[in-house]
Amino acid sequence: MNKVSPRDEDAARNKHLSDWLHNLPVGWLVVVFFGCAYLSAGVIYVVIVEFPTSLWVRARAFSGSMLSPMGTLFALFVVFTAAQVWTDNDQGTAAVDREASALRDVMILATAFPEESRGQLETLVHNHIEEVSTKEWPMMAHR
Amino acid sequence: MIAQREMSVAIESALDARRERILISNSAVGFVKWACLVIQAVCVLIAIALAHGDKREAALVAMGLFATGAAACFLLIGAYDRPFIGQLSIKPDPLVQVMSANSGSTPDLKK
Repeated sequence: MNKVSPRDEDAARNKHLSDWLHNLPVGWLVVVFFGCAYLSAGVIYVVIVEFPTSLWVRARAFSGSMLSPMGTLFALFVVFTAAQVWTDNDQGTAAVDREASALRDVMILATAFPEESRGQLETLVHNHIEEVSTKEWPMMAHR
Repeated sequence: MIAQREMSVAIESALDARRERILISNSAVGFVKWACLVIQAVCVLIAIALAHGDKREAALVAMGLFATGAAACFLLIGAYDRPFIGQLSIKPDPLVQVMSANSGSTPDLKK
């Protein structure tokens, strides 16, 4: 009998959460991301500004000078992460375009073949595209 | 003969592109990267709150502005994070167009 380890359960839970989040329409993504950001800012504001402890008051002395390097670090994180994400997107789009162009080439070259072979090739390409659109795409989305 | 050779080149190219597409579908921003981004954003928010601790309105405005900017960055990354899922994902339209260009009509793939 196969036992599911707690680590696998965690991974499955994270995957479901990630799938749920990424399946949201952009409008709801805006609500989730901006809501979480404002909620966090609100909590930090209440804890630090409204209820200052002696630790927070003493920390004010150096927090101003820390702001600039921390902002720069955050910007660097964002830039590198966004660059990776957009590169993946560009490569994915290019791969789909290349596949489509190659299949179109197959269709065009098929006209040089006898009627029977041409029909078979067209059916095969047709079936492949239908399989890709209806089965592979949902599988790639929920990998 | 030439057509056969060209045909095999085209099929090979299509299979290579398909393999690359499947490999790219596995790409995503990992949990650790997300966690680091969030921790860094929280640290900056804390620093802003401390720097403006004695001026409530200034703290509120500065934190609100930074939270808006950070949320926009997270949204930008989150919306494009996984290339083949979501509203802004890569669609199979170019492939479907090859099929419809051949048959002369748009095929019904929803069945």
